[in-house]
Amino acid sequence: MKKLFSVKCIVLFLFVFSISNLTAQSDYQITQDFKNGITQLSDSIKSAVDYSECLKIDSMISVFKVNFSEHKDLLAQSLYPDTYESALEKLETQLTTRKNDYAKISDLQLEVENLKFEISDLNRMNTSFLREIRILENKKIMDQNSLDSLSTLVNNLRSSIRKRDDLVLTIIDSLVTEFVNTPSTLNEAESQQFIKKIDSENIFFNVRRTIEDNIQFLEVTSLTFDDLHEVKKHQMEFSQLWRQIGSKMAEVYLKRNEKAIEIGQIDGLFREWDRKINYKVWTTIDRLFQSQDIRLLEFENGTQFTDNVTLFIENEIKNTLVKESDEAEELFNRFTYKVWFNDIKPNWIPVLIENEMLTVEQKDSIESKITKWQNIAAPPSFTWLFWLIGIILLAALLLMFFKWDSIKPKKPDQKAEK
Amino acid sequence: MKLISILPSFVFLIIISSCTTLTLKPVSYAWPIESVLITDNNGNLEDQRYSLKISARKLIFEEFGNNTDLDSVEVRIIRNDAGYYFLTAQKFKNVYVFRESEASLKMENKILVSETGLLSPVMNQRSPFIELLDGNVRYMLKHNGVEGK
Repeated sequence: MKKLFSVKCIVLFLFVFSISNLTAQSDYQITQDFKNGITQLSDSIKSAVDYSECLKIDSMISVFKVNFSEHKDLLAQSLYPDTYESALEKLETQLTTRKNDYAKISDLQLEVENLKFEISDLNRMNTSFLREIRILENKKIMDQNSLDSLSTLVNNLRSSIRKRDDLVLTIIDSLVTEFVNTPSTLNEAESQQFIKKIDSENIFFNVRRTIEDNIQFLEVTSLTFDDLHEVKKHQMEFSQLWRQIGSKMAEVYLKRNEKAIEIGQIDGLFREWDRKINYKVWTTIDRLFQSQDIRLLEFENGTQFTDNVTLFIENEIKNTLVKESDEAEELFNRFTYKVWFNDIKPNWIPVLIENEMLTVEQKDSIESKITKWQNIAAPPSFTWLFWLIGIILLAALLLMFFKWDSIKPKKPDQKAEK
Repeated sequence: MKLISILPSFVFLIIISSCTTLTLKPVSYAWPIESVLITDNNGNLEDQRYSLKISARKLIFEEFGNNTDLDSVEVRIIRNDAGYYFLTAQKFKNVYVFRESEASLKMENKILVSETGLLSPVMNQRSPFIELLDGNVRYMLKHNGVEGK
């Protein structure tokens, strides 16, 4: 790559040198040479792969400027509306932008070098945490101290994994900035640089490790509805960044028939991670029902969840006809007030809908079934109304009884005596 | 009688007034550099910069004869201060000078510059001349001929 750039430099130098031999010849040729020189320098800037190449181009532009400066007036007329100065200004602006990009990239590279060491340390720590958690979980009976240790370990592991993931994200993000956001295909020089970066940062290993650790973490811990939101968001962020860089990787590596298996495996691991999160969510929800001795058929997605809950309710509606009314009502209350309205609806349903694991229509269909079940198993009672009417009537009767003397009609004799 | 005597004066005045048209001076038509154009298979030339389209068929036939292939002839054209067009090409023996006319260019002069044909001609604007270079030979041209060599 550096050899190619040196060859280009020599060609451009010879080209510029030969211009001096043409100065006495053709004004047309001078103009053409100037235009071609500008184009070649511009192409060199686009294909410069690092800051040092930009500096070489800078000195080439200086030489080019000097060689054509005596033809300023001719070029002003022949390049109209451009001029000698404006053409060179555009070139210099292009070079400055490129230099700034490489300066930024250089800073990022330094930062990422430091992050590499941090990631290695965190990887070691995570492995150790996971081992300890598994040992504790395998104990059949845990005392309070063990439970506390387990809780602390889980929190430490969560925090350590997150920290390591953020570092890996930073590295991948730097790759996205440097290589992926260019609208065009990478040229050979850029492809080489890209591969070098991938290899030096151990991207494949770190991404794989990130996903595997997160999957293991899901296996050893339970998930609250707050956790779900954070975990899903984290998985999607990582997955999105990988997809951005994955297309460039495919472009660069697959041309060389390399790494196709690794790229494919990592794509697979991302899908596995997503599946694990979803599985964890549904099993946690199922445990909520089981904690109230409510057994639903297994479910792994929103549709199965809706179908199985609906089926359970429909069965219980039928059973209400044969069960004792107290028993049916008690089960209804457990299902609704202890599980559905107490936990699932206020905590889990909004998060499931937000993460597109359940639709609003599915939630509404379950709730309409619950309403139907309520009308049969625990119909609303109007006893209180009868009592109220009874009390009002009794009060009215008592009032009439005590006030009878004052309202009863008087006899004529009694009126005369008065 | 009086009318007859003043009639010639009246006619003379009308003629004089129509001759004194508005003239703007000086005007320079000079092109800063020559245009190098390639003919299509019909001998047509097109210059994007000056929005000029010329049929060079007759020019090429004039120089080489009627059976010449018209396609891909590289013709060089430049305009001088006075507005004359100078046309020539490789292997031409002459430089042709044209002046503008309605939807046409009329030949003003045919300047013989090389008995054997030009090898690699270039034309430069060197007001008030057109400089023709062919290798080491240089001609300073005006519309009426060679002013210096």
